[in-house]
Amino acid sequence: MSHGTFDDAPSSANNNNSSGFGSGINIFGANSVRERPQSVSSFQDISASSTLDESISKTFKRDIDRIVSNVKNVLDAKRVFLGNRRSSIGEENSQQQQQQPLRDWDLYGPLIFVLLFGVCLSSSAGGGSSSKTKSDAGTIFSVVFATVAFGAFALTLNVKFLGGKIIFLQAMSLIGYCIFPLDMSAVLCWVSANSWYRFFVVGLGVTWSCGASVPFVSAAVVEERKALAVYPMVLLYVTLGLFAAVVV
Amino acid sequence: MSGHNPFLVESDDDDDDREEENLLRTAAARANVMGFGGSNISSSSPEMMYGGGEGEASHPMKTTSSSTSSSSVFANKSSRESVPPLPSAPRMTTRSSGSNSTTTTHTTTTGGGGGFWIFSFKYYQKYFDVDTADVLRRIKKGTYGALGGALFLDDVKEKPDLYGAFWGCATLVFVVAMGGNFAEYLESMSSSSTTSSNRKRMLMMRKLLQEEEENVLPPPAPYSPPPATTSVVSAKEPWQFDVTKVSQCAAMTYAYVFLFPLSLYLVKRCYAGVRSASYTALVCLYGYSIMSYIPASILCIFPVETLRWVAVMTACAVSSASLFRNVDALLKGESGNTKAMAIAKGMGVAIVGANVIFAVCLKELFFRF
Repeated sequence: MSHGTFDDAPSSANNNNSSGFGSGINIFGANSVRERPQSVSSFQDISASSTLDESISKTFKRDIDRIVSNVKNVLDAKRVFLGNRRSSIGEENSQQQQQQPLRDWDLYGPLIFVLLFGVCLSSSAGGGSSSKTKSDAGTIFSVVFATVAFGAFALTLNVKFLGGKIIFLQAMSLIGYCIFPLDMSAVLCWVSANSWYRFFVVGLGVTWSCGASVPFVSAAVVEERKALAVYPMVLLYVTLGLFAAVVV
Repeated sequence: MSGHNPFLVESDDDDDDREEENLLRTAAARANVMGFGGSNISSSSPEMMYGGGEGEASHPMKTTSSSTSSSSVFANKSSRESVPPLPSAPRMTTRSSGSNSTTTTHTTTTGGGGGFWIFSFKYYQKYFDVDTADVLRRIKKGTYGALGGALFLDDVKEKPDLYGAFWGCATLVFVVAMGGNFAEYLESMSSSSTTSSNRKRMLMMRKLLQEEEENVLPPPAPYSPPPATTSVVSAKEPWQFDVTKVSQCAAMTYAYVFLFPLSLYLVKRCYAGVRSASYTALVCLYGYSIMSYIPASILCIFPVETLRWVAVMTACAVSSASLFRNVDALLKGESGNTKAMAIAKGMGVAIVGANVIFAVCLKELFFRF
């Protein structure tokens, strides 16, 4: 399981989690502690047995819940399209909301979305009758997957090199989650081949993706370099959007 | 949203970075022990000075610094560092942005490592030490800098950046791939549209009837074209997005921008001994000059062949002029260096020739139908 949490836990827990993929057992996560009512001697034993002994469906459900909640948080349509509304409670609430999408990052979601995107694009190409083998399903899938994977990697490196303070895998996770609107656009493009419809749907998807990811990246970089960090991101999503509009 | 970095959860980020620093520190220390030479010693020094605030880290810092204090490079570096190596040195000031940690960039103009480990972020951070205004200015100077004004290389020698090279190429690849596919689409639309094909067929039929009326004899073999054209029209496949254009263009562009300057640099440095411009500066020059092909590629979408050639050749001329002017000035600026003078002309020819080849390949591979 590759994920990290940044809850209030002892510092050693943070080291454990932030050292990349970590072990498969989230020893210090609040969730697993709450689940297990067994009486065993040490604190570690309680949580260690909890996630090992549970059924696979429960493990999957936990991961899927995390992915769904991340999608909802990162791609909050209201926030993206209407902007941040300062609530009456004050700064902490909005700050928490801002931090909220990134607290429980994981790499499962991005992987699923990228695969879905690649399969979506390549299946329609392979399914169509074409004696011309210049771009068959395999080529399309590999180019799309390479573009997304390498693009996300290069984007994160770009922000880090420009002096932005980000956590590497967390940023990659964010970029991957923002592929989700393009997934929806690609699926919707299956419906009709009308150019106007497709460009509208893809345009909406690209705007949503950019609107969801750009604020996070631009906040991580100093003012003079914001455009430098934001431009490649927009380039990536526009490229993927055009892929979706044209290849499907 | 203003200024608050949502990626940061305060202590965790420091722990994360500190852990990263620990890894870098141990790796650098190991490299020092293996005797990599003076330049790598300072690789550990900035991080140790700034990350050694906690008590447990200060001892390793002291021991390694004492063991390497005999090196003059280390002494030079420590004197140049603005923050003294106190345990209470504020950590955040040095890592807040890339521009603060570039005290080492002014030390070398030959593009040396600056003392950092090549697989660390800090090694590359100095190659991205540009603001938006800098990048825009460099684009202007790099693309049509041949028209006069300060030389691109002079401007860039202190702080060459790889941002323009990398993302300029990425933009070019994107524009060429999308533009090439769109041009292909327009071409297929115009040739397979029903009105034009019908008209062609009608013309062919009329010509056939006329020939039959005029010649009693059956038409000789050269009149086989009419059936062939109709079969060609009907056998034309519906347009499909050619994804290989993306990969081909990416390979070509990145190889040109990153590998050709390498050969230039090797000749310049190893044969002529010119040390003034680093490899990164040459890549920077090539990267910014290749952006002149972007508007040309957009113009190439129009299905007029002459326009395409004119656009591409103009872009080629502009970028070649910029490249030639800069490299020529670089070589001729070495007054006492006879070898540099000797290769100046040859190198100029090579640069312009390679650029022409690149332009022709760009046009032929992606915009020819």
